[in-house]
Amino acid sequence: MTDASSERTRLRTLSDAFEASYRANRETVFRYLRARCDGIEEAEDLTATAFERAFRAFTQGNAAALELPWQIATARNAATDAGRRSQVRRALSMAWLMPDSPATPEALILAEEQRARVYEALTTLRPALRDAVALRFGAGLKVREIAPILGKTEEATQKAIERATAQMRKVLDDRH
Amino acid sequence: MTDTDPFDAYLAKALGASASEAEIATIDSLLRLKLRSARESRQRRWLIVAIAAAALLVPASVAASLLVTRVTEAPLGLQSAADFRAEVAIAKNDITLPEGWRWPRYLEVAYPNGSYSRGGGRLSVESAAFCIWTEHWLSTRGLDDTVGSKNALGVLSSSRGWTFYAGPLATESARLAIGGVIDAALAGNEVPARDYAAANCAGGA
Repeated sequence: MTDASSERTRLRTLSDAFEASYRANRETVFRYLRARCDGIEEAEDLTATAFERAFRAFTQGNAAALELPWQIATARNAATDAGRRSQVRRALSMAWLMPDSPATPEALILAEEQRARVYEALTTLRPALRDAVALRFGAGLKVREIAPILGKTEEATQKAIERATAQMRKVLDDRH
Repeated sequence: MTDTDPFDAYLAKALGASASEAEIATIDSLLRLKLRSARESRQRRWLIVAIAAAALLVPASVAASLLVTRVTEAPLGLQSAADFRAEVAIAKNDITLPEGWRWPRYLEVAYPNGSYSRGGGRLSVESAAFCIWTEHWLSTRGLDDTVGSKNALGVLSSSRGWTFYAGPLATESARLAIGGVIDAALAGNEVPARDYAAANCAGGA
């Protein structure tokens, strides 16, 4: 095998490995960012940014960049950077709150209203608590998976999630 | 994930809802664009180095012709709905709207199988943003909101650097119209802004 063809094979292998990881994890990363950000376009853009960084890191030899925890942590950093850049928060995009499955118009309206209320309650949380809720319920991660991302113990992470959900429950009860 | 608490289950259902096909397609397109952009950026750096080296070895006309060939590639043509939607999403993220304003619905892609102009998405977003900031500036005048007015004027001034004003798809007549609105606004004259908004802006959002 020549040097050129072995290099092509190496690149194809790298590309295949990254694509498999991307396909497996893109939705989880997106759901996390969707719960964390105030706009659907921002969540889509940051998801792509996280995976662009993952690709760069992976091709430079960082195998961890193919793993979900690394990708979530990178998405989290990208969201924090974007939050710092955005001085004025954009109006909420509620488009994602619409369910995909067909249903009666009444059911659609009801589901949209319920999800809109959840999202509004989410916006009342301070960023650290919202982040914990986004990781738990948006990305669907377990507490033991969230703790190292937040840099906290499992116990502290569990407490943060409980505090956040209690606050959301109160907001939803008060508005109901 | 097992959620024994009904409220936790409710949150998991609301916040963990699956992404739509359109959202996944947009993320795919955005990633492709970002990877391509990074690759082209690396290639441009090599091109600059190559041209600098060539300039030392070959007549200047040859180097110039290489450069011209590169920069006259028209950024025109058609793209898929997913790529167009990605272009719109990137442009929206580049521009902050005034608080309380939303992007108009016409920026959403209505035909998922249609073909769209490359560059047209950013142009549409920036045109909409210019309308919104113009209307916002006019509204701050009515409220005597000095800070809001200054902020809006700052954004309107900076729009001369946007693609819709300075890019390859912008026309001289559009630059004259938009520049006229900006210059008049900076001088405190509302009339061109009102005329522009009435003629070109569908009520902002």
